[in-house]
Amino acid sequence: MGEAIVVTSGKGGVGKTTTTANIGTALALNNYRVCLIDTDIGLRNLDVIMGLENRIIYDLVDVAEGSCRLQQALIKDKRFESLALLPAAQTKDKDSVSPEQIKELVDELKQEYDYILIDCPAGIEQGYKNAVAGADRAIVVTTPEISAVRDADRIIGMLEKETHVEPPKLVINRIRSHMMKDGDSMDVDEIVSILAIDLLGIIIDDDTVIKSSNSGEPVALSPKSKASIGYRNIARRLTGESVPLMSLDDNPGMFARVKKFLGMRP
Amino acid sequence: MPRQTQHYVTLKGTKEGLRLRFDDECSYSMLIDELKRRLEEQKDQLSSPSREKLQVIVDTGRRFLTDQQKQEIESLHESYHIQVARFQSEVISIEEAEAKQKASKVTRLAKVIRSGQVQEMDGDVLLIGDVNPGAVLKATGSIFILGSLKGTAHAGVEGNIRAVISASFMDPAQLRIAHIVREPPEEEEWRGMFECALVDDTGELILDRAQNLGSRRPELMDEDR
Ligand SMILES: Nc1ncnc2c1ncn2[C@@H]1O[C@H](COP(=O)(O)OP(=O)(O)O)[C@@H](O)[C@H]1O
Ligand SMILES: [Mg+2]
Repeated sequence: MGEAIVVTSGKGGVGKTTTTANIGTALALNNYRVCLIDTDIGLRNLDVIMGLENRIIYDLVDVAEGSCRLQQALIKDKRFESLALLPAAQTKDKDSVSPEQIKELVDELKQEYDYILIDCPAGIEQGYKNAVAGADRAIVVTTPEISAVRDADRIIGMLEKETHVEPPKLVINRIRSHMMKDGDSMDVDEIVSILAIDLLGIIIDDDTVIKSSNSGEPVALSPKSKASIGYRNIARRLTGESVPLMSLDDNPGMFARVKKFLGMRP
Repeated sequence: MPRQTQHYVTLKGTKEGLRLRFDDECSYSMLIDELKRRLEEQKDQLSSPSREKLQVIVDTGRRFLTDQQKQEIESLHESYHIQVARFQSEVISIEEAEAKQKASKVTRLAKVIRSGQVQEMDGDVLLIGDVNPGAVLKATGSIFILGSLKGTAHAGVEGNIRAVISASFMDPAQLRIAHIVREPPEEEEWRGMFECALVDDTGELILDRAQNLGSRRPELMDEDR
């Protein structure tokens, strides 16, 4: 029996879809059976980042409405036999599926996959409720911006009311170490102390993320980039391994801070 | 003049002023009858020399008076140019008792109040956790936070100007006590460890070291006054 993990943030554009695609890819690299679900109805793009857009025949709404079987709508990944995607509908609206329908569908997928990653739309309305309905765990993505952290806090408050979801874990995305160092953006300590949840990992701001998303090859596939290592580490921590937080640069001050973190949350 | 056998209403001068003690075992109508008689009898003695109204304290003992009955007694005095300063009684209704108990209670919370959340409490609150930016904590009494206050705290929401706000780390978006509101000043540094906020004698909401709370608000202490 697999686990369903929702990837959410409140604010749009902070990297939910990128995170879903890359953690999914990294888990598949480690031979886990993974299914990605795009619940951002009307604004689907997980399929584009995965490079699977051209293979879509049926979508989430078709399955929920019973227009096709679940198996017919699942798209097999190009690279991994064990990775699949259930795309969102592009032309329908958010209310065309209910939380109950999503939960039923997720429960069915849990029979066959180790991890179900659910990409959540921005906002706190219907789309959020749909995405969270079937989840056992939650990842909250934020960037080091005050508005993103504020929205992450709001979402954490809402997730705390969902008794079926474990306490959420945090991913801080698009970190620019020079800005943190100069005090021009919030730093990791500050964000974690406000949100008061466990840190799952940090991802630096990296042009290769954008490049690889555009080419439909998630960055997690390229072993050299720092962002890729960040995603792979997150995937390993999700499966229960303890992996040290990587240092952002060679600055010993930062490294000391990172070590302090590990001390706090072994 | 008929001799008074029963004294349902006794008049006594005290340090605080004139006190009317009502018998608490006779019927209400007997009490009112006698009160009328006594006021009529003694109206000459009771009229004050100056133009000011005479003030009396009405002590009802173990009798519970409804608001309507209190009104009747007040207007009765009023017609003799006497003002009831206050009613005093050894009994209160369950409703009043519950409200009193609630107001004197300290509610303990252990959580983070997050952006978009509004937490409202009766009486004093002890929060073990943080009030995050964008969150609001309100209490009819005082607010004590073992953690960071980064959002808005509103103490004494029903008008208690003696209420205070105290936090291990004070970096609020806004502070309110009763009807007095303060935003952090633009220039001045307005954050600190173990601070308290209160309304001073000039009616201004100020911040001070929490260590000074005991002398500024001795009523906060249960013992050791
Ligand atoms: N670590 C990163 N470095 C650089 N660009 C990133 C990173 N993470 C996300 N992006 C870019 O940010 C934009 C928004 O990301 P996306 O995953 O679509 O956000 P969301 O799903 O939360 O709306 C995309 O253009 C994506 O390529
Ligand atoms: Mg998205």
